[in-house]
Amino acid sequence: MKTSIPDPADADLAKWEVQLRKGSLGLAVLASLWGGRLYGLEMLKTLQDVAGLAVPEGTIYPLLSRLSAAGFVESEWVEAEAGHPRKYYRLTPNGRLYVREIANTWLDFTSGLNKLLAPLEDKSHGKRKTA
Amino acid sequence: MASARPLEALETYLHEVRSRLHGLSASEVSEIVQELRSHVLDAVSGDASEARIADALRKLGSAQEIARMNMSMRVATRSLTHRSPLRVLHTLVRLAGLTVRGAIVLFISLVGYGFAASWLITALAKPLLPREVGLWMLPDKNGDLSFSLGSHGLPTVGHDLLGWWIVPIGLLVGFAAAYLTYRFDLAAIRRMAARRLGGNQITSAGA
Repeated sequence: MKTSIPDPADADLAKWEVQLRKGSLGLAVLASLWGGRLYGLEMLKTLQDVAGLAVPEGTIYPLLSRLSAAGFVESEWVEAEAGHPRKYYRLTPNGRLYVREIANTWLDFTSGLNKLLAPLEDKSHGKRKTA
Repeated sequence: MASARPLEALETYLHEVRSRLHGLSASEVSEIVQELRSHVLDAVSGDASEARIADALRKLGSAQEIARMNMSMRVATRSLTHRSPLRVLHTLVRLAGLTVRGAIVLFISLVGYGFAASWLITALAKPLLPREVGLWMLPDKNGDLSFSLGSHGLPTVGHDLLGWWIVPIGLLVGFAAAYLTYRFDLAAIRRMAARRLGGNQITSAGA
């Protein structure tokens, strides 16, 4: 009979992933606006399609509200062809400076860390998770 | 053309969200509701059937959770941009009504401010009632010693530990406790706002 023994490290790993995703969501949202203005659903699709981040839809607007209060994004209502108005968000000049700064910090950090982690890479990791 | 019934489901949902956004300004409530409506209409891409609307609302999250996230975030954001201690405390009172964590933080905060106030009041009252106010060491019925801050009304029974030093020490301890409580409140509000974004629900598509 096959028994599964819970790995105590799983809980720690889950917590770590939560913190990582939570911390990087703001960066991901700001980065999605780098190419120009987007409305909420477009932003969610960009995060999903480009970064593989499935963000719960309802969380994006409170986050945008916070980024707006911080002066990193600005918004405007636009009467869309779809027949209803859409609220578009774009980076402010300050937001562009900020996202570039944290993006470079992130890239510097991860490129160094990636070199360190390369020998640990488990090629079957993705397959095992989806299995 | 969409029939009225599916859109009725959307309006019911929005009405529920609106009814839970207590204390936000009318323009903030209108902005949130209008954006949610726009999101759902975009999500159904012109096919406003009952099933599509229901699916879009399910993906958005329950009206209760949506209202709670928006409330927490806006209230927290406001207090972090207008950082007066009264504003921060007011925010905590609001958050206490929304989450258990908020209620716990409010309780700790009130204890902190109460501690600060007792030292400050004692320090300020010392010049007015020098024989009655102080940090007292008092014998109880069993002969054990206890400490009492403030006025115990029996100046001849206890021993005033600090004397006039209670004035500078009381002011120092009081202001320090108030400041630390204020910083604790700010940090707690920031953490609660971050938690409200539901980082545990963000998943990687490959995972």
